[in-house]
Amino acid sequence: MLRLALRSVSTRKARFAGSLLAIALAVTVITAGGVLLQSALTGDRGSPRFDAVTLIVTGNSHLPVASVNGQAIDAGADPVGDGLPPPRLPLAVAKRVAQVSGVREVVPDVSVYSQVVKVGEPSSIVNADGAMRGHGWSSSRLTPYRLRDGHPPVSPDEIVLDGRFAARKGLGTGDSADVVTAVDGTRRYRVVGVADPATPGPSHATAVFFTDQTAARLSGDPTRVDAIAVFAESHEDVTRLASRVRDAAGDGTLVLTDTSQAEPSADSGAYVATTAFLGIMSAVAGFVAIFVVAGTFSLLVVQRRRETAVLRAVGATGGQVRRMIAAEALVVSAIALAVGVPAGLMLSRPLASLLVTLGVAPTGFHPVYGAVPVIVAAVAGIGLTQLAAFTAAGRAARVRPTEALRESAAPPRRLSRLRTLAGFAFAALSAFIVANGIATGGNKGSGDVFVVSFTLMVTATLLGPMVTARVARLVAPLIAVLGRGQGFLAAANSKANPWRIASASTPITLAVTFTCIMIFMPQTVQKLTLRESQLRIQADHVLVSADGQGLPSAVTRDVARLPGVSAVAATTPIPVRLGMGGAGGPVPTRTLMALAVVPAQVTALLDLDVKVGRLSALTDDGIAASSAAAREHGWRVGDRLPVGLPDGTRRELHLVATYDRSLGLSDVLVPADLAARHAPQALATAIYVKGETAEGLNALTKTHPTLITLSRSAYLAQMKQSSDAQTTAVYLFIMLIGLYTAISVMNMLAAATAARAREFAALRLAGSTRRQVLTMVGGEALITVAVGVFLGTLIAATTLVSSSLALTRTPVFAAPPQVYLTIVATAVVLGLAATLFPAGMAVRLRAISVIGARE
Amino acid sequence: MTLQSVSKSFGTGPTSVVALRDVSMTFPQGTFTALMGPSGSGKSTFMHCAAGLERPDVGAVYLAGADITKMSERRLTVFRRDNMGFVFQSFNLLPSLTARQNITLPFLLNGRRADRKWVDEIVERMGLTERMSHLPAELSGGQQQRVSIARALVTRPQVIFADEPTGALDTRTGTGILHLLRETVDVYGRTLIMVTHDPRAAAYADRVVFLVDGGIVDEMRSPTVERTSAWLSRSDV
Ligand SMILES: Nc1ncnc2c1ncn2[C@@H]1O[C@H](COP(=O)(O)OP(=O)(O)OP(=O)(O)O)[C@@H](O)[C@H]1O
Ligand SMILES: [Mg+2]
Repeated sequence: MLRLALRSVSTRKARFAGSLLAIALAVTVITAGGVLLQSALTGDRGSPRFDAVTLIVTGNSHLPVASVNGQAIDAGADPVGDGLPPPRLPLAVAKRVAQVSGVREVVPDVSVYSQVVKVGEPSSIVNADGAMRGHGWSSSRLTPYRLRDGHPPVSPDEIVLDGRFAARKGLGTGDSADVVTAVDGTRRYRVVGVADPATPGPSHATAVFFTDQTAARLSGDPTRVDAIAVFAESHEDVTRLASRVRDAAGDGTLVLTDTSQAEPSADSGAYVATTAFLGIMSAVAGFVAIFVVAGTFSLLVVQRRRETAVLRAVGATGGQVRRMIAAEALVVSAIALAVGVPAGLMLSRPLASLLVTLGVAPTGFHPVYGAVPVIVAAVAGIGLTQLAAFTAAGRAARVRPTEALRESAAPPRRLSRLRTLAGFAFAALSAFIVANGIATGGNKGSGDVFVVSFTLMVTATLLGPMVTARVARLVAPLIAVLGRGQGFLAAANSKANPWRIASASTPITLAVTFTCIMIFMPQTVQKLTLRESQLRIQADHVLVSADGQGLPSAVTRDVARLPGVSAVAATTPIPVRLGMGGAGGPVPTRTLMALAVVPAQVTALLDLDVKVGRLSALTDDGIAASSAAAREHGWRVGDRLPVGLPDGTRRELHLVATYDRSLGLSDVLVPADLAARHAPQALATAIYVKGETAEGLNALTKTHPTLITLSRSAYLAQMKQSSDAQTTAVYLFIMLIGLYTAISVMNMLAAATAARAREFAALRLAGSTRRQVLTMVGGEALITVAVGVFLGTLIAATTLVSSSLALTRTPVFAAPPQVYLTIVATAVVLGLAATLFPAGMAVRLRAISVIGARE
Repeated sequence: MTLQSVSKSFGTGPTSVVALRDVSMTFPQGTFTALMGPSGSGKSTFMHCAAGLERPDVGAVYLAGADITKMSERRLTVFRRDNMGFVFQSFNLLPSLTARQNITLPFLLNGRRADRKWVDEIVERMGLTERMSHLPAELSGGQQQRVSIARALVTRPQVIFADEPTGALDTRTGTGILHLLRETVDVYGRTLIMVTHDPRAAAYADRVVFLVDGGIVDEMRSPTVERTSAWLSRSDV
């Protein structure tokens, strides 16, 4: 069989070239996607701040917050919580750990937000490259940092600066600098020294060192520390020491031998974002690959129907035909792997730099080559083609030998019952997904609904010929305008042969669906967020921070004192751990970013559209949740929810209100008093202000160097802009996936057209001019494209509308007509070009020579 | 080979066509039978049923003591591979295989080794020795038809079916092919069943069977061109 297959592949290079191209491209895409995804997953090397330390003791962020019915609550994966620093530890733990034998020394470590600003520097150019962290000078040994100049901080107003930062800002020993912290607001310090990490590298967060006492004070709670660094006696076995330290440290702590995992690195957030982005893009590309490869093979089998019939007549069993096609698929996929894997590896480097340039990936992002992506690509490449060949071969094996003996072999006219059944099953599944997603609502519901685009795609493919015949009937009268004879022929062909149209239109459906969803989905979310924010924000001004980290509470206090200000409300995010899900059964604990607010202030400045309860009751041990989150987790107003607070305290808070307008804000609100007690380091992401006080606010930027004041409209405009930046990256990758799809569409349409050379020759012999033949083919291509665009639009619209319904109960979605029309126009141009070009080549041949050549 | 009360119709309801009605016929070993009749009379259907390519609605087909209508699709395929050979009107060679590979294709499917001497003998008799490594596209129509005959002979089948084997060929080439077919009966003792419209082709057969509207209406032993032509013009009303 393999010999027959090899022979078949080698003599029909042209025919196999198409499927080879399709599979090689699929392998290229999978390899490149895999390499990048693996690079993003393993790219985060952790924080180098504790490189010199043997062990690190931190708080355990994975502790369950409560138990239900005596069952401990499962504390599994926690996507938000894992990206945050662990909870702080009581200082007493350090004393206990210091007693453990084999421990030479312990150093309590403090890490607090500390933005250093050159005196007089305007807020617009304040450090935008991430958070600056402040530590006590004793923490400098943990990396270690070496003084390049000056001396360690001794008095409370002295600091030592990171060398790179100092050089960039033109600061040196003897200069003054302002430092913004959560506890102090802005305060002036003297630079007494400059220090560099012993082994410099891009993954170091920018550090500033205070005296140990100042650092402890700035942390808001001097009885707690962020980590405890343990230096071991020399020759001590680290594993054994770790277990002794673990015993001494007690519950609620983690002892890490890999010190890089003790705190999130400077890039960890960026790597998570990159992974998510690449994950979505790879999933889409992989899905496209499945369809393209499957489509290519079914086309190949249809083209060879007659040949298969000969084989069957000569005595090949169905199994032999199947094996032969499988063997051919193996040969083709082996060649495709040899081409696609190196191409994918080579492509991953420019793609990685593109991601960095676009700002999707952090600066240090580079492809990491490993065996896994190659193996995945190889398995996927061979597996996909075998799967495609298997389904196609099933059809081929059913070819009846008499078809070889009859002149015109009629393709099957009806869908098999199994296929129809599967099609309807997928349609039903799609309906269920939509209904369920809308019922769930919120982010989860709208995320769930996204899956419907995949299931509807499968439905369309399965029931394609059925739909195609109907759409062709609808479009046919329009096509007839092209010219009576040719238009009629095109329409007749499409009606008689819906299979050909269906399989040719599948990639177009796919391309239109995914392009529309990938472009319009973020725009829709942005539009909805903007719409909700517009309705919600009742303030005249919104204050934000220049470094993206937040504003200290001192700003809120100073704003409140300004003349002309009638109301101020700060929203301060703090991570809270909540038991998710309704009553009964084990409940996973997850971290959510809750917003701490003063209820009286927030009701005056934000219209949250409260549905149940009252926000004014959000005092003491109250908590409020968005209607969507409450629905998702089965919370009702009056319920007592077990909550873990950032300092490790556990409390039961009771739900006092649910509100609808949560998009762009948060799913959970907690009282500001609670946050002040349990998260003194928290910073406000936004401060809403009502009153005629623009000058007063501008004057405040002098005393608070990270403060940016925006009018309501400017704030909303900025909100729009920041999401545009992300959209650019999505656009570019959509274009790459679109390019891939386009090549596949061209490939399949070209193959389908080239296979009809005989038919065109017959038409020519019957007296048609070349023009007439091309018009007919063009008419069919238009029907094909129309079917593809129609189905693609339908699927995309269904997905977008359901997602909006789930998110905000309104069927609004964003689809700028010019973008949509561009997508449609591209599909039409590609479809026509891919059909007319090979048809043009085919009719240029002398008709008689085509008829004479058998098959 | 024997057909017993074989009937076959296509389709259901008002568009249903009866292609064969209650046909019985025996083809003794080593004979050459020509099937003739007007277009649509059921000749091809008759042959397909006899070869097990189409399952009759009722009736039985015996070859080598076995009723092939009772066999499973798989067994039938293997049985057909070993006991029947086919020559079609259009030559139906696999375009990607050389003449030699096309001829030995049944062995490839069997997983058996081709009998080299036997293949060489057939090839020589067909006058194809020089053309063995050519692809079908590089062969003339007559040469392609000779490759088909060689393929039909190569497994030493009991019965060879030929559906209008000379239909696409000029008279001289056709005559050559008919000589070769006659030889397969005389030299190798095969049973040959051939569908044809051409009285000159029918004249090579031992007998001619006439079909009209799916039924056997007449049989003629030792046919000549004149007698078959006369018969055909009589019934061709
Ligand atoms: N697969 C089929 N489906 C429907 N009807 C068929 C099919 N095959 C044959 N028929 C019908 O059965 C009848 C006999 O057909 P058959 O092909 O056996 O005729 P024939 O004698 O071989 O004709 P010709 O000399 O033109 O080849 C015809 O009326 C034909 O329309
Ligand atoms: Mg016939």
